[in-house]
Amino acid sequence: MKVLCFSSFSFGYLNRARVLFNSLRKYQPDWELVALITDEPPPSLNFCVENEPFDSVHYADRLGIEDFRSWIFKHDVIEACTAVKGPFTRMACSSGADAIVYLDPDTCLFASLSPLEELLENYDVVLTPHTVTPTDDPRAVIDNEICSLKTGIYNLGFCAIRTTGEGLRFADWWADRLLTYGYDDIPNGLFVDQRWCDLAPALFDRVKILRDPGYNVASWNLIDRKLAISPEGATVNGSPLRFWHFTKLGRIADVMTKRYAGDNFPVYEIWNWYRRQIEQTTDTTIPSGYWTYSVYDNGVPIAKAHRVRYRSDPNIQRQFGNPFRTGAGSYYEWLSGMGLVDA
Amino acid sequence: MEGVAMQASLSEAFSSAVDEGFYLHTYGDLPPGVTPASHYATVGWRQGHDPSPWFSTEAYLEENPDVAQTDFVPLFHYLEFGVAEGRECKPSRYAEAYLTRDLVTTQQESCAQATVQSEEYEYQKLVIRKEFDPDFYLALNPDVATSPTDPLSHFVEFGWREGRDPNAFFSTSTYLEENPDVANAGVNPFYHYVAAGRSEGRSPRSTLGFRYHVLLNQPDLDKRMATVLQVPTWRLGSKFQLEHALSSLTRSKQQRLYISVSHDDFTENVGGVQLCLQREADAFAERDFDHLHFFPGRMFLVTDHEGEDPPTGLLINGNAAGHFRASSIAQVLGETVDTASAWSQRSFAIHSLLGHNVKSLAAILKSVGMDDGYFWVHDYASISAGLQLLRNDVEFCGAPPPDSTACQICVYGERRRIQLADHAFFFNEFNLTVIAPSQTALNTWKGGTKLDPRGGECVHPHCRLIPRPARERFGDDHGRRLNVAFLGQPAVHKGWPVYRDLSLRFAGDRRFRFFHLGMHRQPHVPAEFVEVRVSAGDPEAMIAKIEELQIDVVIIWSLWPETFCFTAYEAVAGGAAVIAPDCSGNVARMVHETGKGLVLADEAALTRLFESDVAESLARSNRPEEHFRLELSTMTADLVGARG
Repeated sequence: MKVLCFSSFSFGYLNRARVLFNSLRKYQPDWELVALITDEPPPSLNFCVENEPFDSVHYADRLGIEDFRSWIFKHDVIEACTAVKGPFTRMACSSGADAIVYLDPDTCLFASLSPLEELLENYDVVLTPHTVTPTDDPRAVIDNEICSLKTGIYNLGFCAIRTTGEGLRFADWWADRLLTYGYDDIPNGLFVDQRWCDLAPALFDRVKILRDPGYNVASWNLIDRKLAISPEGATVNGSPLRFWHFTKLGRIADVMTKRYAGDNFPVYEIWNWYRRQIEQTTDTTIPSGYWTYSVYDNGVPIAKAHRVRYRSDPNIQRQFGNPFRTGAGSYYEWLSGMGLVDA
Repeated sequence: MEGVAMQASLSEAFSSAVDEGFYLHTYGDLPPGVTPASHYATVGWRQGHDPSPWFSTEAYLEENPDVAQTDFVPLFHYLEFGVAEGRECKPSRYAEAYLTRDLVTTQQESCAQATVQSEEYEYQKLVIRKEFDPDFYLALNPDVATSPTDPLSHFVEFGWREGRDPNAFFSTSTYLEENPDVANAGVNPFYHYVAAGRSEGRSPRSTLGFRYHVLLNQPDLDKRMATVLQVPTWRLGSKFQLEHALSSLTRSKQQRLYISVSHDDFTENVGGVQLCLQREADAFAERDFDHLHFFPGRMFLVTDHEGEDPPTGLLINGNAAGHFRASSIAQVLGETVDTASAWSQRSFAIHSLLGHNVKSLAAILKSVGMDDGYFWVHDYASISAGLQLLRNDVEFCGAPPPDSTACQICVYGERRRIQLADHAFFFNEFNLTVIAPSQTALNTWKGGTKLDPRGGECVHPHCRLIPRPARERFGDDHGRRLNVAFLGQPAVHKGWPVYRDLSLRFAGDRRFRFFHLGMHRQPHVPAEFVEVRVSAGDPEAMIAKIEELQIDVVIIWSLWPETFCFTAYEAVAGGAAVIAPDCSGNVARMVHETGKGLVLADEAALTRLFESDVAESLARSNRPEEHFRLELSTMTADLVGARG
């Protein structure tokens, strides 16, 4: 089976993506590895794909998204990097690959995903739920179950599809939805690309809900997943650890990991290792918090409220085709006139 | 307790609950020598006086007629029984007048603030009193025992701010760390936990285990190396100085030469391996061998693979000769020693390759015609860059393949490949006989290596236990507490955190008395520290102290498969029983073989043992009295001699 595996990120996450793709090269040397980057390299960075652990780079502004600058302005960095997964997946379905595997840049493989390839012989879409065991812990109900109800049952840090049949139908539908509704808007039932997939088992056949505890291990399911490391390898509840989702590296991850890993100390070992890897793969020439679409052309940061106002009003979109521009007749000037730009 | 009897034994808690300022303000001055607490306990309460603004004597007796029918001092009854029984108290009718009295001067304001503070303290004490463990607090804080403040007051007013714990089940520092809202509020964390945190589901202490804390502070190998690399205090010697030094190799008239290699200068540093090498050196000296000892010029945690012609320290017949370039040593030795006809008996032993560049060292050994030698398994450095085979210093790794996930995530994993290659080179260069101090060590080594010892392998223990009579007895065993001890270096791989947690857990338990026998006192551990220094001049110092203190049980909770562990033998020689985990290598084997102690599966089993009847089986008074002396080996000298 010819597999194309991609990850979607901005240059701020290049370090994480390097760790992921290094692990993919180790465990899936025959997969085609693609970086989908919604960003432009910072001028300070000497970025050569030949030196990176992936085979090729696709930039989001070359995916054929109509009125790209207007479209990207409607999204913050997380919304943008998740929304582009849809159109890229649809495009990749005609690349000659038999299957597309998506992995978030902050995931990392610890064993081969060959059982996934076997699953894709019988299923067209494979999704992993955030959590697969009901909990009695009141805090976990809030942290994990209610959070899943808000943000989506399935974690879209991973998704695998066949490029034909129901997989292709899924890719078409997902791309359409994400091009129009890829926002973090929980009160209106949206959470980037993730909430949409709650509908997948209802809308499509041949969808596999993968409950194997070795896939997509993260703080939200550590409550019922016990990691063990032996000479033979790492296991989760006795199943081989396939990949870990190192979500929210930093204090939030620490608090949630401690809360649910408890004294399962191999979890802290694996996190320590990941931190060391991130340290080693971090390019200090990338400015902290860098994202090329985060500022107007005069360097002023774009407030989330400016993006929300823009995407909510088709008239504004028609009036300001390139909302990044500043100066006379620009969206920025219009906002300033309304007193909506901080001095 | 009746009112009259109360006078004689006013509890500290009761005394501190009586607000002196309030009492004197409300009821006027008392006769000289009469304190508000004693006045209230004897006369005051019968007169309807209130002891504090927050407690009405009259209301308490009205609402609790069963108490009124007795002769209990109402405040004492409330503190001792009422709180636990869910009885309530009401504020004194004089409280408002006292708390809002006209304060005009700064001094008075200050006094008022102090009073409010005092009332807060009193209230906190009231809430936490039942769960505060004064025995634990005093065991962990001997400075409080000598202060005039009672433990509870000390904790409420000072102790929690100093990070002290109120009992074995609550960690002040962890609670503040894990509950930033409590830390930001500046509230006594234990009071918060008892009053609110517990019902909110907050955890009273870290449930993450000591391994979490080891991992939290774990530097990677490079950073660790940077901290141990010392600036050399020596000057590199010249070739001429080396030639001059080697001219003193005359002990055997060039008939017998022994070379040893280890990670340091055994005459300068103290430790188990160093004492072994000292005995070995003495034995070779007695047999008129010339003895060269090589050690690295700098402290190193791994083999010095990158080193080019590194400085190497040299002892000649036990005397420091200086530090020289490895290439100079090889050259001068080659010129000095006639390898073709002289040195009828020569051998070498590697005690450790740490810090050595194996190619440079091999050149030195080859320069004097060495081909056959010994390789000691004092640790597992020939299998891993982590000498104890502890993955990330927290769990026995079982020496998995270098490309395993275990090695991938281990701080030693990357360096291990280099360490393995260096040892493979050395084993290829020489005909080595592997010597392990225990069968367990040999089995572990063989299970984790592909190295081929062409000279074979053998087990040669560092010592044997020889029965001896007991020394002078110190007191009667019967009825005393169980004396529990940790011996030596308080290191993680030796199980110090497990012992520390055990002593914290049972600090207030009057069945036990905890000791730490070693060279350096550890803070914040409720164990009596006794300094013991084992040396070449006093090799039985630890054994004598174990016997003198009548230590019943020694906890040797080694996380790694110990290759030998002198401490375990010292414990048994001193008449103590040893408690060790399954994974402790030769310690567990020794306990199994001698029957002197218990081997347990894990830390939970250790806690269960102490909760139940540990004394029944392990107290000296309940065991046959047996003591031993240690018959020490002379290491490689025993084997070279055996070869003739």
